[in-house]
Amino acid sequence: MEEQNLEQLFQSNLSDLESGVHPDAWKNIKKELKNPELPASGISTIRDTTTISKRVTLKLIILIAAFSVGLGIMLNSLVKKQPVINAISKESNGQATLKAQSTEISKPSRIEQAPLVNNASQKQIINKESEQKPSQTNAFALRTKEKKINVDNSTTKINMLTPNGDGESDYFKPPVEGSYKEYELTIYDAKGHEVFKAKDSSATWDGKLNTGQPAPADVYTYTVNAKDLTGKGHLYQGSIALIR
Amino acid sequence: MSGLTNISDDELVRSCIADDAKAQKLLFDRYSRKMMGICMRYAGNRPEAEDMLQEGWIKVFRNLGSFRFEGSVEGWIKRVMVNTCLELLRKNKMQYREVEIETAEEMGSLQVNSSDSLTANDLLKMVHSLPSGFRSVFNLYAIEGYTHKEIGKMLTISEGTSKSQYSRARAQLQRMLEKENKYFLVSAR
Repeated sequence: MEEQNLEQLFQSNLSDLESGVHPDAWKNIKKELKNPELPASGISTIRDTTTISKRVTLKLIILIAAFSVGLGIMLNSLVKKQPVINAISKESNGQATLKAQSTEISKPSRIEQAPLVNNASQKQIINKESEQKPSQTNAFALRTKEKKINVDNSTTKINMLTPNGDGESDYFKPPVEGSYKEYELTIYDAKGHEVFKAKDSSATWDGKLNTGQPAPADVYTYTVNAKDLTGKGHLYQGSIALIR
Repeated sequence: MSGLTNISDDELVRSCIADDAKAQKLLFDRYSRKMMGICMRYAGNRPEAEDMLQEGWIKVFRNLGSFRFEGSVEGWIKRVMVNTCLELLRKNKMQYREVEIETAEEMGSLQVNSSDSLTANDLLKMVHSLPSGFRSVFNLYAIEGYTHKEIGKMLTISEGTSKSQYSRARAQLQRMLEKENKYFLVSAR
């Protein structure tokens, strides 16, 4: 058996790789070429600057958030002289009233606030507290947003499917990346009944039911259950708007 | 049309520049399977590769006027295609970090036995499983044969980053190959 190193193995097998082209590719290219030409380099610089400015704004936001978190902590430590109020907001209504009343007795300086403690003012106190450290809420929101983008953005996009043979959105392909050793695409109708299933990662849905009949216009849900080459499971889902 | 099929690449390009639709289709047919092969190496999956191919050909036809008839048309189209692939990957935020994979093992100069059971498709799948940054560096260095310095310029990363990305990509592929070989040994019994 001939011995090769890794580079040779990949080089010899993949450097002249040929692959089948999508039947609609030429049609799409021709259509695009007919469109008025946009300065391609212009677009890319614009894109670059927007991503850069996005990054800069993000950094700024994080900086501001971090700064105000610090400020919030400082404020919080100042406010710590009134820990009872902090406790109130976390307790249920009944207990809160009790505690607040006891504050009223033990701390005359808090009288101004104590009579407020009923259902309506409870909210006010909570509001007050959240005002004291608004930055923390900001920071959390930021983090969740970031995660959403990284993990799966297919859920945020509604896929259009218009199977009328005009070459545009005639079939649906889940926006799933990567190679998988196990792959299962399932499509459900609005009632949750399965209408389509495929185990081939290149499978597309042409808007037909399992019976071969065209599915009615509706919003469908797809899930892709896949195992990647390392054996890790992935689940993607999103919706498809089928328009006829 | 039959008269056109034997036409040389340079002639074909001149006709394309003159906006001859038949010539454009012919140039596309002549090289699109090869170019799809390139896109498949850079993309993480087929739909992404299809987008790259489409964008790449649009760029080819729009910029064909700047082809100087020095060197082969094929090489020129290939360069446009690779650049388009990199641009689209960058747009989709190239990942330079290793995702969910055990810490890179020490790189050795391990020799891989070429096995008949490992097809180009198996290797392609392994390349697909790499994060896009690793994949780009691996393609550019091991398959296209660029130097780390050139890759650094193309991807706007440092030469050192290119080197370290490459060694990690290589280690990851090596692990997969080892796994694959074990699998084939077991199944052969």
